Amino acid sequence: MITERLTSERLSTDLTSWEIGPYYDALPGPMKMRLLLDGEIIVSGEIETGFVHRGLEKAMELQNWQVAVAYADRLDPENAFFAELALCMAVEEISQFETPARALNIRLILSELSRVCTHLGYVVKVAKAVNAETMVHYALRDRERVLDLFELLTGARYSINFLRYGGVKLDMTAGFLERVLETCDLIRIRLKEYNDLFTYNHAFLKRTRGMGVLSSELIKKYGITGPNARASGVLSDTRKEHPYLGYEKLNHHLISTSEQSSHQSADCHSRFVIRLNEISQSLEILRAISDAVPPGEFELMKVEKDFAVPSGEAFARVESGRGRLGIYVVADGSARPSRIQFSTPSPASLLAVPELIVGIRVEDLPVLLASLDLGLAEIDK
Amino acid sequence: MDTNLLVSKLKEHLPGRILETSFFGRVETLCLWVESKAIAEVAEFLLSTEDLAYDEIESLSCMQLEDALVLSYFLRSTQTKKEVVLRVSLAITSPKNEIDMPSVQSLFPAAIVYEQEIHRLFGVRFLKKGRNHADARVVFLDGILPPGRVGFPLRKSFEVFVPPVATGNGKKNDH
Repeated sequence: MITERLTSERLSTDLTSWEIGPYYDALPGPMKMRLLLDGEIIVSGEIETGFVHRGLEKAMELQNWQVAVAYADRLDPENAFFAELALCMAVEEISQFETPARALNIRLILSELSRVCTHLGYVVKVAKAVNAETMVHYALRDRERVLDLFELLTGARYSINFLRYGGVKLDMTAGFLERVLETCDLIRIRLKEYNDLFTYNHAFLKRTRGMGVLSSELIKKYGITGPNARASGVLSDTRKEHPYLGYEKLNHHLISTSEQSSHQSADCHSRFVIRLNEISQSLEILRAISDAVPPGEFELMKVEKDFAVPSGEAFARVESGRGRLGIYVVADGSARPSRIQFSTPSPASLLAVPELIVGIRVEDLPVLLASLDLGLAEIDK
Repeated sequence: MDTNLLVSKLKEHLPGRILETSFFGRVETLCLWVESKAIAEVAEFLLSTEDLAYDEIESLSCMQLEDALVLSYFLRSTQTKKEVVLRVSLAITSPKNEIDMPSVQSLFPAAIVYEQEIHRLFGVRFLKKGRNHADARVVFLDGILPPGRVGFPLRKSFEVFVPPVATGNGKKNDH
């Protein structure tokens, strides 16, 4: 264990305190950490967030329903599509809309492309934390290809604002699916390159193996979901437990399975590897569904500015790139939402940080934080 | 466990704590209106009863309905994969006064996020009893209001300034 190895290296000095943030390069976003240090080993730490709270949920109450979709994009810019999707699913449940099969398939393609995009962004973050410049550029280069696909379909690269209640804004253009498959082939080759260059590089292994072990007790205690939980062998995947968009029709081996999770060692390296596996799974899912996009309508109706949702409430969940994203929507029959609340996956991982950092070196803190993929935008929503 | 059986078991073990039963939204998830002081008791029963084991809090949400705040606890069992929603209604006495409510952090440490958030945004103070609650080494959303503003931003009475949006023709368009 890293902790035991470091004990022998402790300096005989008094404990010092160090306050970093809210703006600091090693942190995943604006937050404050108060650390107690023994030499360069962390003894304890506290975290404070809330520096960029935007009042997003209140802002959504002041807008009409369709504008709320554009606001949902801002919940977490790196994971923008998932918040849009969750909102549309909840509203469709309240309104009892039957979304056309073609629209569901387009959403499914976007959902998996977004996951690939988020995980490639994760590779960039971890590579940056260990100063692996080449890897940063490679992953960014490949993520551009996915962003190009978003641009081709939606006209936007990041905050796509593409979903409409009961469908999507536009149909797929001719040749889009071929471009998706081309990109899948390319990324599959790149994944092998990542492994050769970086994943099992001894310098990277030394900095990530055995560090930040998230036990299954911690996962349960703080309700951690998504890749962070799966890297610890805790099988929780909303795509399987609460299937949506037709995930139930896909072969279950395409979505993270017990064989893949059971031999994970729950450390920073596992969290990295599981995301590469999930990129690979998403590519498989994209390949499987691209043959089966049904013809037909891509939207149920045109959503007008004064579109009103009947009184009611719904709780929808989707599997975002970081874990389970829940949304609670309340409608009072008017043209504006009465209440929209997001339950995001990042705060749960953040709660575990004070327990994970005890005994590690200060220099390893950025790596540990990057490995958890904390989205501060999701926390300060 | 069948929902009817669950409700009758709850009424038998915790008489008077369940005020009303219904279904949540348009789905078949059971929704229980609970007496506010008894929330921890009911949650503990649902958590510790063997064939129920509602051991995960998916979300804790607050909304304002006229002069009351409604808290919804979305509980889920990782074993049976079933969900239940617990509901509590709290009367708003004044726009600037906090309302007290028992905390469920000792049962679900993950609730700390939601409870802190609701405290800052809606002014519901969650009181912790006993020693078993989660420690506050992570503080969410402390001091989110700009200097000089008081109140709770997500209550309906909180006034928000929405800046006018500039349109393409150079004129300003009021919301």
